[in-house]
Amino acid sequence: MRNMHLLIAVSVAFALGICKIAVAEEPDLNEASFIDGFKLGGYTSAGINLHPGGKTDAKLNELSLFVTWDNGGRLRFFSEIEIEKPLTWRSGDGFTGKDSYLDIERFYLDFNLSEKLNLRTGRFLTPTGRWNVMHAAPLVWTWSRPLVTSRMFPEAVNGVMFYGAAPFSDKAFEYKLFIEAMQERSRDRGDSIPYKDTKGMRFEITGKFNWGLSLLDTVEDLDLVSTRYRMVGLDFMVQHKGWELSAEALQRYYTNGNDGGSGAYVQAVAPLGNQWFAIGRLENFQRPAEGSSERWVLGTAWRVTPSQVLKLEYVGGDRERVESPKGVMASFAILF
Amino acid sequence: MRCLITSLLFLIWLLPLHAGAEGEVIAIIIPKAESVKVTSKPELALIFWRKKLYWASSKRIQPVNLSPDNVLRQKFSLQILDSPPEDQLEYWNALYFHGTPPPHVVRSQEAMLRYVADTPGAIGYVDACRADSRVKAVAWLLTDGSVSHVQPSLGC
Repeated sequence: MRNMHLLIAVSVAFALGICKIAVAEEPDLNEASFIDGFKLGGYTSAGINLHPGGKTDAKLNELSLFVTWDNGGRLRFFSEIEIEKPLTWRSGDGFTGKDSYLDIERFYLDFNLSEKLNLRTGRFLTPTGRWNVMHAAPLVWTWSRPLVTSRMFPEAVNGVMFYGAAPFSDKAFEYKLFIEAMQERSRDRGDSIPYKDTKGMRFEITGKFNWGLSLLDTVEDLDLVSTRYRMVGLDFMVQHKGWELSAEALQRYYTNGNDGGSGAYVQAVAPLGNQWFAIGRLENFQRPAEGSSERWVLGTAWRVTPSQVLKLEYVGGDRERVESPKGVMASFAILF
Repeated sequence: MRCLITSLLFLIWLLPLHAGAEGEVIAIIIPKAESVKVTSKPELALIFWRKKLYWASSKRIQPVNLSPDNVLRQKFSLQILDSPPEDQLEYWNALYFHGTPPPHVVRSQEAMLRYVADTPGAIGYVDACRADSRVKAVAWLLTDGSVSHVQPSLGC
């Protein structure tokens, strides 16, 4: 795996040397040569958390780089290489970089098979629910993330996915079918739950109202025991003139049909004017190995520019957990 | 004198009517040499949301938009995508996160005609009265919001 990381690092360095910086507002869709097909982008965010007990920590959350290749043909490449938590500061401990690690978030090839059928091979975000595939700090309204969107299923899968979209009445129908072909490669990250043998599907009806149904079969692969789960998830999102209402609910079952964990959140966003928004969220989560957790979030976000967002939020609820902090949080994120 | 005033009044009545007609029907255009079918509004939405990236021939679809503040873009966006361009920012950022850029943007209808005429796989839109022999109109977005595959009477 170290060799894989080295290969990726060299690829990124190579790409940095040859790529044109991509700008979201100014795409170049003309037929390009091989070299011109490369684009580079990414995002980064930093934030501070004042915990209820008086402790404070601040960190540069990530530096994420996208390298894409697309020359207008049927084959496309996408990768996202991320340096997670490159710098952390904790009250009493000072600065440290020991939490940092390199993560290959996404690394895949897309191939168009027909008008409504595409093939993706490589490492991709698990298409379960809305948040997981849109988790980048500049794209979500809060720094805190609902537990149900990260601890019930693998966040990424190394495998194969068939996907496509077609008109459906006056809306669109989108589908994704995927299966893991190679097991999760990093089992040493303290905060992630290892999964294996994942397969699933997602169906969406998109338009003014967006509805999603996710089905998943996966094995939670802990050191002492491996447990197979089946999961069903429902989600929706509607936006209108700056207002937004979204929700996700996931229910997991053991293979014998017993409750294997569940969770949900509902989030509302209201425009305040001058690109300021108010955010409110309620969430709960329960997983057999962790017990239950409830959170409420009140916050505000300021879109400084279309690609920069400043967030301030207060997270309350029952006892604080490492993976679900509470207190006052302020953060800044930029998409480039 | 009375005849002149009557004529002037008639012209004043006629002018806004004509100007309004010119801005009401939108032609969906593709390169003249190409042959593709755009069957419905939902299909146009898939193309301009960049959820459908390839024609049936596996050629890449190259959708083109006018500037966000252009009146025709606003109208097209409301009728096809159900939202004005300024409300689509988060969507385009999200799509960019997945490696797909938004449609190419041109500043004028003349630029739209030239881009579509010269770009294989392109699809764009202009005021139906502005569509000319450089491109092929494959559908018309009518005043009632419906899509017609037969050229309507334009009164250009």
